Amino acid sequence: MKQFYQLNTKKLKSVLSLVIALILSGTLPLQAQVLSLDTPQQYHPQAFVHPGLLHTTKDLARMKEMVANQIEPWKSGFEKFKASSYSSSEWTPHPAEHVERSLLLGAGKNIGDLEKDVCAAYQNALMWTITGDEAHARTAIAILNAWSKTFKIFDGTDVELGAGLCGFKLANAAEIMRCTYPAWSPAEIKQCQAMFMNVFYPPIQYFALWAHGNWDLACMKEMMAIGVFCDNHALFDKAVDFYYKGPGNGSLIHYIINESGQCQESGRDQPHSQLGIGHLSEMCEIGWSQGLDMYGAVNNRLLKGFEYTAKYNLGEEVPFEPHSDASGRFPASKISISGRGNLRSIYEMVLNHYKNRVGLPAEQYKYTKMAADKLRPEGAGFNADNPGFGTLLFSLKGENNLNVGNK
Amino acid sequence: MIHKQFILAVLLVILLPLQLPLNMSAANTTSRIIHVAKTGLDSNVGNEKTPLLTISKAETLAQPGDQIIIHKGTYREMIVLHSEGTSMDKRITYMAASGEDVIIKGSERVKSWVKQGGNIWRAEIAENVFRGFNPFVIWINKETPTAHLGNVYMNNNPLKEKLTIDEVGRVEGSWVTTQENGKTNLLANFGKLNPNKELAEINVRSAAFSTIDSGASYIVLDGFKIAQIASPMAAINGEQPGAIAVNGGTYWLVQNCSLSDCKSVAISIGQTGHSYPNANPGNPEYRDLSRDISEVGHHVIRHNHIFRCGQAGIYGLLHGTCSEISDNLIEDINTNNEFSTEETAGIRLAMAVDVIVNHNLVRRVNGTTEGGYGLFLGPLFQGARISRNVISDTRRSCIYLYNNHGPALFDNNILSGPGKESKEGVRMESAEANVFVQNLFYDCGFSNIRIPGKTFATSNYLAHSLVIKQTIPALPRDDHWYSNLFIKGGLDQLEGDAGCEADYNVYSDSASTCSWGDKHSKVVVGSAKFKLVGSAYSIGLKLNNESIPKVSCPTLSPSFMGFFALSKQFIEYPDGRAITIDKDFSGNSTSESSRIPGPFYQYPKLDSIVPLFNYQK
Repeated sequence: MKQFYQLNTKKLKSVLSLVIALILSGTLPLQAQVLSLDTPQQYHPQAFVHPGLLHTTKDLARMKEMVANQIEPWKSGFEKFKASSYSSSEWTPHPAEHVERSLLLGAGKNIGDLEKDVCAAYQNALMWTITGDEAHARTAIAILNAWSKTFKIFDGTDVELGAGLCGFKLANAAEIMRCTYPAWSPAEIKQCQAMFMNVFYPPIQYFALWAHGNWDLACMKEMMAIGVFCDNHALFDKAVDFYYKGPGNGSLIHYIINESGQCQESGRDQPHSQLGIGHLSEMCEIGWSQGLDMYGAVNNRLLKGFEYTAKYNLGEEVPFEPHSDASGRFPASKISISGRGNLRSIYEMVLNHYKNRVGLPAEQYKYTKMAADKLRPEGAGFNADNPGFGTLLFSLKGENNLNVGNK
Repeated sequence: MIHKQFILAVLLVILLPLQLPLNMSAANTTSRIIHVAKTGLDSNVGNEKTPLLTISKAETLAQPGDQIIIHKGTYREMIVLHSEGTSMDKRITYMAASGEDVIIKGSERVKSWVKQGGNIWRAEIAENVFRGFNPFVIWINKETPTAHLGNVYMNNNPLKEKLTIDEVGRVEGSWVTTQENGKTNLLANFGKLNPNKELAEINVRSAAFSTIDSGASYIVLDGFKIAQIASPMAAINGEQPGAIAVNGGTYWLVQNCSLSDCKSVAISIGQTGHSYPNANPGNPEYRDLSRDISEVGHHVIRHNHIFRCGQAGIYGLLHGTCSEISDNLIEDINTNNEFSTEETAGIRLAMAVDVIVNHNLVRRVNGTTEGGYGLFLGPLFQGARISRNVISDTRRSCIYLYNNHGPALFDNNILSGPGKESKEGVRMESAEANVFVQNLFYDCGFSNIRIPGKTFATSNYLAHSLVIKQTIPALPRDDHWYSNLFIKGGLDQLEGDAGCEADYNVYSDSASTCSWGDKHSKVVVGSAKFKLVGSAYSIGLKLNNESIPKVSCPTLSPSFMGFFALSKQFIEYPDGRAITIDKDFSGNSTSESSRIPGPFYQYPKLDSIVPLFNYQK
């Protein structure tokens, strides 16, 4: 793993040099909607780690052990997680052939059912690995099979969001179940992979260059997740490439626009800003599972976004630089007070990475820690937006370990 | 006697359908041919020997697949289409008999002129002449009433309307109207001509071919000379009448017709629209018109001569979608400046997805401070291709693009602008992703601005459909300019908006490159000596081609021109195939990467005229 890390560092060097040069020159190219379809470089040529999305085998084992031994904060995190209706093995899926997520008045089909079912699939998969209760495994598989057998059409004005958010949680559920539940048959797994490639991937394949960054990011994290679950390196590379140098608002430096941590959506509202940095962190976590240090990119830019956002939402002031986004559609002259103070369940994952894995000085993650402390134990993510429950899912034991992928 | 006539009429009604199949077309065994001639009677059966008298009568008999052949003569009637075809193989065709002049006029001849003194004559027109539509009581523009919809014609030439009798007395070829005692009075100065002996006519009808409210589909109109139609003013968010008006109908073919002296619109391929005061991202403008793309438009407007019309040659909301407008000569629009609206143009289309506007000559389009465009597109023209058109002598821009997410392609056009200093030539407002390749721009101004005021929620569609994919504001950006020839006016007038690219162009006659591109473009010192050589029905190009250098340019492939992620499409044909621009205006190809930018890869020898357009009558 260490050898691979060095290999990727070398490959990423030129990319990051370009990014930094562009930042310093102040000439970030603006592209509203034209997308280069060039094949990205290879970021992960060797076989994927499985399970290797938000949770590796080691992560799952840690959760199981800590919960079984009633150790805090996992104990209280699990109590909150277990209380969620999506964690119930009684959950019944409501699959549909056609799902539409649309902004248009009166439009929209079955998106609510899909969002609920993917949350239930993901949480039942985790309940299964934490408790060993096979009822949860059966429920997770029932949801995965029901949808992969039925689901054919995904459309609507906001299909990128629908596919990105829902597909991400469902892929995480599938990735866990494939590795932990042998009763899930190869044919069913193949059918599930086909659903991801044929129904979830097409709407996200061109990202969402015209939109606020959380749209790109929903596509990016889902693309990365499908890449791993379907062992499709091209998809994985395409998503990671976009993280580093994509032309849209979702790339790291287009979303967290400066060293102070201001986000592309900071001038829009605080919930979307938290949604966006949450997406970025989930990509980083998958990268870490696979041996890539995306957390460290551009001098830990992700952490700066979290610190800025947490600080403002904890009631303190932050600098704001008038900003026009990569698409040019969303200029912002001041930070938005909309939704300020409503912390989302996104902070534990990032805190634990920088504090416990990397061992950064405490002042560098001061506000992220304050946000996590305030929320602990973290509850559900909003709808299917983010995984939530970070206290249970992402708390580490306090070990500092700089080896990428050593989870 | 009455009893016998009634029986005869009943027998005719019964027998006519039985007799018409005797005239079956050789091409289509289920279609019938119905003849109409000025020598006929509407009580005839409608075959070649015993033709009908009126086209309107033939219309009442027409069934899908039928052909109505009209013989020479002047037909003063408005044909309202109640019947329609059912498919491309079952269209209802109205065509002029081969080689015969078939004229359809919206006017009536007046022979009751009374001389008033000097050259002024007076005619009193009873209201029943107008049959409920009196164009002499309707102002074109209510706010600035200077001209009525109606007009007076002498020997097929329109006279100029004045507002006072004194003016009419002074100006030969003018007229004025008043309303007295429920009648329309016309006072006209015919000079030395006697209107009772010459051909004096006045407008009385609003259309030549129109349809019932729901429109009619699969109609063919071929070979007519349509004139003197008092078509009322059209509005994109209102009614859209025309001398020929599809009124929401689809799949029409209009070809080989001439349309002249149509007061407002000559050919309307639109439908009644409405305004959207409460539009928002969840309910954007024109959402109510979004439907299966196969159920709209698909008209072919081909090889027509449209001249001396007031508002627009071809006009319409929605049904320009998937339509082809080609080989038309459109000239002398709004000559008298009676229309002061932005909606004055040679061709004016909105919500025209995948429309093709190919090889039309549009010239002499007048206007005031508003209007007078060669081609005005928008809102919404995703997937449009504007190719091989010649546009010149327009009061304002040759091309006006308004409110669209793109992409749209403009290739191999020759646009002679009203002057760089006027800032008119190619005018864009919140028009995204327009790709200009191999065009010749002469003395054009260029601009692309964001629509001021309210932020619009502009739809874009899944490629080649009317399924709304996104509703976000359209912005001035992502325009691409490759391998064009700029003479006198260059892209230095444009700011480098996001995503805009320009390169491999040539700039001549003091035209300047842009500051944000043109890395490989070349600037010519001296003059290209551009000149359009026009004559009746044709136009050609003179150019000092030896002054235009070759530029090494990549293949104008789909990937080079860009993948437009918002619309999820390349520059594409309506069937989804991506377009590579590898032919010039004349259809010539070249394998050389180093070639002359603009619409011709090669020019004939120096000082010769390159033919651009020749309308074959």
